[in-house]
Amino acid sequence: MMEQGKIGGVQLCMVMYPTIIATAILSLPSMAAEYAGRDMWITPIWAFIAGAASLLIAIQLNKMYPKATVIEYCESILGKVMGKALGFLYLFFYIHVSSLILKEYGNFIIGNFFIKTPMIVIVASFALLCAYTARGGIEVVARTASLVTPFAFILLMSVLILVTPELTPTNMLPMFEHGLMPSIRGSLSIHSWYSEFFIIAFLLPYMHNRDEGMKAGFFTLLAVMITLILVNLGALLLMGEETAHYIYPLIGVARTISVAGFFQHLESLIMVLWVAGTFVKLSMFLYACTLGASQWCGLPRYRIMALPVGLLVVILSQWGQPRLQELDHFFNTAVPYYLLTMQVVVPFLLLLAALMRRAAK
Amino acid sequence: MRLLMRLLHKWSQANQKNNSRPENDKPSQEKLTESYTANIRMIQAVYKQCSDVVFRPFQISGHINATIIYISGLTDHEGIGQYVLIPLMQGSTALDEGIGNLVEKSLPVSEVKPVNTIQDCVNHLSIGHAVLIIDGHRQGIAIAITKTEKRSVEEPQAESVIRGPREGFTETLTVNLSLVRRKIRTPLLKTESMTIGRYTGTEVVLTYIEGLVLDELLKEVRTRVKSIDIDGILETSYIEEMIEDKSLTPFPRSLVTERPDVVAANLLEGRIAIFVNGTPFVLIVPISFFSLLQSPEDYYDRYIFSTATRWLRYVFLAMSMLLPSLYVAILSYHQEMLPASLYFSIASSRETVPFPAIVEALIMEIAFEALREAGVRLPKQVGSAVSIVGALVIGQAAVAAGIVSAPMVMVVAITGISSFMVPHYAIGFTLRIIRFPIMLLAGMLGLLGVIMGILAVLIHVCTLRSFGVPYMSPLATVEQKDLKDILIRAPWWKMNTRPSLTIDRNIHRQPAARRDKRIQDEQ
Amino acid sequence: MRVRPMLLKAGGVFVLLVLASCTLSGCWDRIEVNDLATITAVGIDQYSDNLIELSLQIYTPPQGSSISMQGGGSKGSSSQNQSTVISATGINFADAVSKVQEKVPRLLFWGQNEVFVFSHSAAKQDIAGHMDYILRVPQIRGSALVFVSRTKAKDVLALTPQLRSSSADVLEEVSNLKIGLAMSAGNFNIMLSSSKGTAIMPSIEIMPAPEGQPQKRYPAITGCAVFKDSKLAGYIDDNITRGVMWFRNEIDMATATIVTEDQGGIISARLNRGRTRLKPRISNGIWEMTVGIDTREILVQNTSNTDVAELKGTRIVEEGLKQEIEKRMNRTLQIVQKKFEADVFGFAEAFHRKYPKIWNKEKGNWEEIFPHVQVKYDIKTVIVNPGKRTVPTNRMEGEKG
Repeated sequence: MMEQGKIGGVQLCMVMYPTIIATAILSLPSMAAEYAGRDMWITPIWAFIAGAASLLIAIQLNKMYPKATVIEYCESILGKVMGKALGFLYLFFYIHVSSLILKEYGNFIIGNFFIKTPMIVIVASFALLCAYTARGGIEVVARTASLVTPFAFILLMSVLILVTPELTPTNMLPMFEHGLMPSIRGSLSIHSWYSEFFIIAFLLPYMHNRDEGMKAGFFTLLAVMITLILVNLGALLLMGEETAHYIYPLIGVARTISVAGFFQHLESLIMVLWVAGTFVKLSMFLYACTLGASQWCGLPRYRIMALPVGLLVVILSQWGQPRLQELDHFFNTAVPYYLLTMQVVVPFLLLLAALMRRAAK
Repeated sequence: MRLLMRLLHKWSQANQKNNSRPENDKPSQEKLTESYTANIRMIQAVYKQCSDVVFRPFQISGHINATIIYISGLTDHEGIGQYVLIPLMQGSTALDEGIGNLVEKSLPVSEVKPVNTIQDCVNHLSIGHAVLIIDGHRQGIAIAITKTEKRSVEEPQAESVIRGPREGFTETLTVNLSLVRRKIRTPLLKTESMTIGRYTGTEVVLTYIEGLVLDELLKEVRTRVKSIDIDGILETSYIEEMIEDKSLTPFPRSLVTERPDVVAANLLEGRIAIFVNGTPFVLIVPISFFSLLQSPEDYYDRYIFSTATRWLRYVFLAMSMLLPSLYVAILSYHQEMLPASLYFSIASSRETVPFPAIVEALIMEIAFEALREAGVRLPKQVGSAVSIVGALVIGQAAVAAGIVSAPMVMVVAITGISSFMVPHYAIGFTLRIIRFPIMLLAGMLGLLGVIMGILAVLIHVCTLRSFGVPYMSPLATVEQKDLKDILIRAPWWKMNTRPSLTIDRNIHRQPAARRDKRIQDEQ
Repeated sequence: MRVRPMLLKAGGVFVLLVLASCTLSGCWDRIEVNDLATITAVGIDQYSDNLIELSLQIYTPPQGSSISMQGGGSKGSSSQNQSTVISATGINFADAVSKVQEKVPRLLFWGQNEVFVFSHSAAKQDIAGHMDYILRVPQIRGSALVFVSRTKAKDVLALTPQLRSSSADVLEEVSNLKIGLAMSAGNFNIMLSSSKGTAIMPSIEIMPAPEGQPQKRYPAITGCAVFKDSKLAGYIDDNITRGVMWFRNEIDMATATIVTEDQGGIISARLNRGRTRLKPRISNGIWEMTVGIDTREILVQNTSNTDVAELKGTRIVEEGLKQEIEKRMNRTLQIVQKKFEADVFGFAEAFHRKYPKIWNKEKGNWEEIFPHVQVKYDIKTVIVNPGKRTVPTNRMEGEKG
């Protein structure tokens, strides 16, 4: 076994929670509002399905192969050649998604706060930090997450609480005036975020106790859902349907906070919160990439792959067009299907194949 | 030419001899012989040029030659006269039954040991015992009759408390051990002694409570300490650095304390305390980061007060690391974060300052550190006056001269005060050092730089282990039970369990109303 | 391994190079506070038909040594004005901003700006265009307040009022007091976009200086400007604005004065708390709005013979207040609903919420429907306490009420 560390249920929560919501809270409200209008707050509830699906499938697969991660049991299920091919696909997928995260991070920071700084500095330094964490292994990832996540959570809740005086509750009404379809359509992109739960497949083999993992996973799913609902509500009740016209609604929300005339202009806190959350997310993803890469190549230790994988992700994130609109377009159209396929459909097929194999024995 | 070569050869050989293993300058393992004069001569040869070694020949019962050898300054002269010379000179003993008889009947000294080799003699002499060599006997007698100058037990300077015992360790090992024995009376308190240091021969004692300590931990510590091969151990810091897990980090991974009650409390939690003769500072391993942030008063004051103080301490700790960086970051990158009135007053006060915020901050911080360090060296009477007046006057003058702005002086002052909130000196220094890279990052990337700095420190700290115990436990580990002593200070009637990472078997301090399930140890 | 020390050395050199390049090339976004031109207010005038004039009120810190050891800050010593106004013309907002920057030796800093003043003519021309710049650029705060000035915005910015450090400060603080309407750029935009160009914005006028201090003229909020089709349509005065605030549930400070008929004299009451609820109703094709108002009032002056300490007297006064409020609101309706035909009350939202299906059918015709919406009132006034006194001060000893 390459990875010697073990984590507990609480740590699993701490890692998975920011992994899902870090990128979601930023642009989710506007994406949901675009299709769902006033019903955007309910979209996270529909998307629960995708999350539960990927979680359940990951758990089932882990039950069958308790000590293996995705890359490893691909081979066990599909045989050497197909398994390696699928493993490579997953590897590529995760590296690609990591680079997308990095790209979004860079765009956000540079677009809103550090306009003149070159993208490569921001992105590379951040990736270095996350690669260093991934290099330390699952325990370091989990420990840093346990320290960072509560802080980010408190910050997020404070922002949402402090903004309550400015909210107009009636912005929510009328509910479902066009039926349920708009909210379901708006939830499509959220489905894709939830499906990132599948990365738990890299964590489950290293748990002290798998039942704890299952409980923690569902608890996290619930927590994610509630958080997203609250964030959506915050944006909706403040800005109404205008939310769809802002690229990063949460910044607009933070801008209106003014407590006692003193705590104002706190949008940089959003940056703090977001950097913390994305740090955990990217560390987790880079860890998955590193572990996956070393397992695929059959290396005895994975530590050494951390920095090269990080470098690869940085370079990959700098490819493609530098326009924010391109990234947005990609997220709105192709990404939902891409993510859902790789993280729900394919695992489901894997599960079926594994079941068939077992039945055949 | 050949002469030259021969000279070179001789010279290199001579050098090699100097670098050779210093086993050669240890006195031989030769045994004492029957010959009285030969023995004396051998010992004299070892202690050539040592004027403080006294050889006092006399006659036992008037007819047997004997010499008592001792190092003046380490032994009790009066005691030797009274308890050794008088009984032996005046008594009438027969030595036919051997030395044992002599010892039993004539030497009213509590600790007496036979010695057989020169090495033994030397060892005993060096710790202040007197050695008696008797004509006609192959063995010598080492008599423990030491008296050395020692400091009395006083309150430790660096760790004073308002409520709690005021004893502190001294430089004498026996006194220190006794202070701990007085607090922990059970015979399960073990004190393993070993001698380390080729020239200093320092006695190092490992103390632990059997039954509470993990066996593997004990074995590991013992191995590491025994494997130290160095010329001298003068202070526990030598040992500390030699036995730490190898890792480049400014964070200390053992606790150093001068207080017996701290040592006793840690022993009760299953840790190991390492005493070194000659220093009042005792090493405690293994520890977590949070042990370094606790002061003994936390446990002596009432729990609500202690909880509040703890939180204050954490807040000020964060401030001491981050305040200058935040100041630099906000002023250089995120000016909109300041409330309007504060913004305008800072803007107007910075008009005359020629430096950018980051340079100003660095100048002030470095000056402050220098002041602090210099203040330590000043004699007591001058010290306090200079530090207070100096800081105030220098700060004011700097502001008036337009070198720094008034808000910066405030920031530095608050930072300085917050850094004094940390109870242990070592970790305080670490946090002060970390402040500088974070300041530089803040100057480069603003608030983002600060976040990245904090994250980098966090990651680093999460990778550390102290003898297998993760450094950031229990905040970042599996067991949430231990948080009761970190986030708050639970009242004593709630402190049912010991910290789970160093305990395996004996987890309960006191019987709880409802016993908790046995928790498993993290590997 | 022999390779390891070599790699470490190479890595170390690389890291050093990276660090050096980071620090030597300068920090890209770092800017010193002294290198910023802090904008405290923005004025937009219409220079000519297709040019606007942008005026920026920029904070000028006092030059020379202001660091005093005597404990007085630089701010406390002078309440004199510390700003200058710089203007430039341009085709649109963005263009004008770049022209202003050319005139200013420091970088324009929008982060502390909370006030936008549009002149009458600029607001008439095209308000939505200016809003776009304000809400699009990341550094500009969308929560800043917006005003329309009846005179030139530039003049407003140049004022040096007495009680505050700049005219921007005056406007901010007065808005906080909520005597008149307070509208932020973000909310204004929401109003504009959700109702096809109908919106409302507070309007300001320059008040004459107090006696003996001709320099100290100051701006004051005197009513509102009504926008239709994203263009300035007209002004409403103070009292009408108060009525609008009643409708919008934004009323905070109001004093109502009534004349009692039978007892003679005047009674004034101040609002302590007021809440408005809009209850829409559509029946048989008739659109109705019942405005429910709950208020709590405190008596402030009584020069009539009514003894308000007694319940009977209180009821009389409450009834009088009720009618006064209704009168005020009707007056408002006259102007805003009938004359301007501008739905700034939020009626559309109310109908939408309650009757979504009908709304979706009819929303295209809202422009015609709104002026004919029948408004009914359901007002409850409660005088919670009569102040510190019971009987009026003009009642003599021995007199009875």
